[in-house]
Order: sequence, then C-alpha cells, then structure tokens
Amino acid sequence: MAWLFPFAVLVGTILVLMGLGLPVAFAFFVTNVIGLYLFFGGSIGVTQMVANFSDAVSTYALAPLPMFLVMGSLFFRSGLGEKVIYALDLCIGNLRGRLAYVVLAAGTIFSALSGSSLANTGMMGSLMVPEMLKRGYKPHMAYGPVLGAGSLAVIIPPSSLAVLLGSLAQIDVGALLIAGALPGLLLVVMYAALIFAQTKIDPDAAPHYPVPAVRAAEKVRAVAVNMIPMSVIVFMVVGTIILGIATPTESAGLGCAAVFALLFVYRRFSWSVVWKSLDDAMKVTGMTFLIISASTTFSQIFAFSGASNGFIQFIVGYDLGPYPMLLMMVLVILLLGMFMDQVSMMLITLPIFLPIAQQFGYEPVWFGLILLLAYEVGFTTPPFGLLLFIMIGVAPKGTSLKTVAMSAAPYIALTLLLILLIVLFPQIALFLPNLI
Amino acid sequence: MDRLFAAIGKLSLALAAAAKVVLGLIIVAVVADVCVRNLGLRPLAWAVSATEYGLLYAAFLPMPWLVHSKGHVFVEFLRQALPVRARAVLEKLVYLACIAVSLYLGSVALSSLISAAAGGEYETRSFDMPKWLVFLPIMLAFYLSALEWLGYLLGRDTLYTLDPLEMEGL
Repeated sequence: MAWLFPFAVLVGTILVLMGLGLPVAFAFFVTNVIGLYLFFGGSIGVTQMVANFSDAVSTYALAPLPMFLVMGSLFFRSGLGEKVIYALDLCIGNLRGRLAYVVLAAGTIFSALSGSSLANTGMMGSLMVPEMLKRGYKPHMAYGPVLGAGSLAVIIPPSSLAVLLGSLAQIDVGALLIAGALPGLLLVVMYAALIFAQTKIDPDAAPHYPVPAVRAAEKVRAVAVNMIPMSVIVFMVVGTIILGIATPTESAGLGCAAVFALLFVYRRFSWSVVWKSLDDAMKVTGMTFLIISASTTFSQIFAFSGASNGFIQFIVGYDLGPYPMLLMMVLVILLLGMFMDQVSMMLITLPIFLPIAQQFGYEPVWFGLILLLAYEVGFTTPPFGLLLFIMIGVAPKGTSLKTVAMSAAPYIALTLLLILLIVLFPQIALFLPNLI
Repeated sequence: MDRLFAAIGKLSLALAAAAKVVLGLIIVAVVADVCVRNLGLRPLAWAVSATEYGLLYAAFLPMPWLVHSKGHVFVEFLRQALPVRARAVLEKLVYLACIAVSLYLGSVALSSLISAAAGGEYETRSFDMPKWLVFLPIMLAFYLSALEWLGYLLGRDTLYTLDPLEMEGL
C-alpha cells in the first residue's frame, strides 16, 4: 500500500485547495510544488515543471480549441445567431410548446457552429427565456429546453471539450469530434420527445398562442437566407474532417474563415466584433491552457510517485469487470460534476481513469464519448452546475436554484439514458468514426 | 498606491491584448497553411511550430489579466460551509498562497531564462526558437500575477464576487 500515501497527498491536497476557493490552476501549482518536493527531488523537479509548461500547451492538437471559440464568438457577437432563431421561429408551425422546439432546434444548430455550452446557453437564455415566460410558459418549460439544448455543444461537433479530451487522452481528436454527431442528434430527438410528452401531460405548461400565418415562400426565403449559408460553416468544420480533407486544427481554421466570409456577406463585419471575439477566446484559452500546463505535471507526479499504478492494481484486484468499472467512473464524474467545472474535473480524473481504461481495453473513442457525456451532465447538476448559474443570471429576479435544477432534471435523465444506450450499442458512437 | 496598481492593471491588459493578437495570427497562419497546401503551393514549413509557440504565449500572457478580472475558474464547496469570519481569514490565506506560488514559479522561470540566454540555448522544431523566449511569457505571467494578487490581499477587491454571466468556461 505504498501508493496510498502519494495518492492521498496528491488527490487530497488538490481537492481541499480547490474546495477552499483557490483558483483551479493555482491549486494545481501548489499541489505540484508539494508533490515535487515530496516525490520528485525538490527544486530540480520544480525547474523541470516550469520547463515542461511549454511542452504541455504548445501542442498543435490543442490549436482547434481557441479557433472554435473565436468561431462561436464571432457567430454570436455578430448577430448571425439571432438570424437563425428568426428563421426557425418562422418555420416551426403552430405547435404547442413551439418556443421550446425553437430553442431545441437553435441549440442544435448553434452547437454545430460553436463549441461552447456556456456561450450557447447564455445566448439562448437571454434571448428566449424572457419571451417564453411572457407567453405564459411554466418555468420548467422555459429553462429546461435551454439547459438541455445549451449543453449539446459538449458532444455535437465542433466541441471544444472534445478537442481538450482528445488531445489530453491521446485519442484521435477528429474521430472523437465526429463520434459525437450521431449521439448528439439522438439526444436532440429524445429531448424533442420529452418536450412533446411534457406538453401532452400538462398543456398549460406551454400555452398555445396565436401565431401569424406565414406564407410558404416566406419560410423558404428565411431558411435560404438565414440558415443554408450556415451549413457552409458546418461543412468546413465537420465535413472536411469526415472527407479527410483537413485535420481538426485545419478544419477549425477553415471554420473561422467561413464565419469571416459570412460576416462580409451579411455585412456584419466590424473590427469591434472581431476584437471582442478574440477577447472571449483569449479569456477561455488562457484559463483552460493554464490549468492544462499545471495539471500535466500533476499527472506526471501521480505516475512517478507510484500512486497511479498502485491505484490501478488495487482496483483491478477487486476484479470488478469492465462495465461495473465504467459505471464507477461515470458515478465519480457525476459526483465531481456537482462541485466542479468540466475542465478541472477532466484534468483531475484523466490521470486516474486513462490507465484503468487501457487496462480494461476500452475502445478509446467510445470511452471518450461516454466521459464527455458524463462531463456534460455536470453542467446542470446542483449545487455548482455552471449552466444553472447562467440560467439564474438571465431568469427573473428571485428564481431559485431549485427551480432551475428541477427543470434540468429530465434532460439529465435522458443524457444518462443515452450513455446507457452507447454502452449497450457502441456503434452509436463508432459508426461515423469508422467511416473516416 | 492607486497609481501603482493602475499601472499593473494596464500592463496586465497589454499582455492580454498581445495574447489576442497572437490568437488572431494563429488563425491566419493555419488558414494560410491549409490554403497554400491545397493550392499545390509549397507548404508554410514554419506554420505548425509558430502555431505551437503561439499557444504557449496564448496560455501565459492572459494570466495576470485573468487574475485582475477574476477570469480564473474556482470552486468553493468547502469555503461556503465556513462561517463568515473564517471565510474572510481564508480569503487572505488564499491570496497569500497565490502570491507565494506565483513568486516562486516566477523566480524559477527567471533563473531558467537567464541560464538559457547565457548558454545560448535553442529549441529546434521547424525553426530554431531561442529558449529564453519560451521562458519569457512564463516569467512575466507569474511575476505580474503575484502583483495582481497583492492587490486583492491589500483589500482593493475580492475574488469571490462574480456575476454568473461573467463566468468563463467551455
């Protein structure tokens, strides 16, 4: 049990420091310094850590992340996102709960155009929630679809979190990005069925309201003008990877170029929008990459001190079998997701989970997608799910965390159901990557 | 004192602005590389390495500004369980820990930078990169972050007041 001491010191220190409110990157730095002095030769180890910062982040595989962020931010900040919502609003007929379907459809399209769940939820929440509440929608019918559709960006390509997971876990980033497409669309169908069931069971949850009749020609025009051109971006990002024309980094660059082209076509280009988009990307990239540079050393100390190997032998000794082990990992992520953001959670769990996954021979893309979905759930689980707070920020004053969290609950249940389906039918995740 | 911290803030903002320019240049380099390759022209051999070093600068240059603007993600699940007075003491301890680790890692980066410059060390990728340029953003980031944390320690602001809509993440 010699591994237990380094395991307890490293995992205990990082969790306690984070829990006490130290910014995640700094919690990693402090833990690393303690770990390096205890297990890695002291100051020589610290010098090595600083030298390794460059290797941790100056990796071409990480380049899509800031580019997807710029792409999504350009899309939202320029007002192109609002044009999509306008077109969807015209096209979706006089259904009961029509605004919930508009949100779901918009969330799906936004997810294919931006890799950020926070940006998606922020945009749809601020635009759609006030309108839904004004139309008499009950809170769960307003918040739930926004939270569900917002978090789709985690799996529908281009997902920034998938790029991060793929590059850190040495999983083929292109395959992991593409693997999310089919499960993402399946999740959309399940969410639509949920909205249908909710409005069927309680028609007052989303009151019917008269919608002005729109001629078919006007609908076609709205789609042609506001939505079809967006498919260029989707093709540049997803299509070029599937066709093998571009690597994920190149596809992200092409996606950015396509958004720029659309800004000129729609006369929405301005240097102020570009600068603000770069600002958005700079903040998230700086925050995320700093945590990556810190956590890379954490992983190395974890392995070097024997904590990683000892823990694996300990777990394998229980002879749990691959599926109960997978279930345990998902449960750990769900638990951590209540308290942590996705990036921190990923960087703490990967050094522990990856060797276990290799030991059990999990298919990497399949395993990566299951992890992504589990991380996604953490966005909407109380008390610290980030999307819940975004929603409270755009909801009327006095809206409680409980109300918002309860609205998200059925969507969480469906995501967990999807994880189960992917475990039972791996082809849901692997069909598209196998085509590459 | 106000002038000093205003100057520190401006310097942090300037580094963040430089990081934005770097991100813009990364996009240009990647797109240009894809275009010339698909047009059958000679690929830009420097583009991949330049992008990689750009990512290093994009990681560290924003660090002090993110401290200034509360952009570093944090969680508080243990902190919130504490009584108010204990939280206030803990807050100061957090700032002290951040200052200490920033100064320590900044000094390690500085000594690595000096040693790399004195030894004329280079990193060899598709072009030779002076090693001191690798340590430069790291050193700047940690030292300037220590000063930004000092502002918090002196009570100029608190880290733990943040609008949910201002949170950063993926």
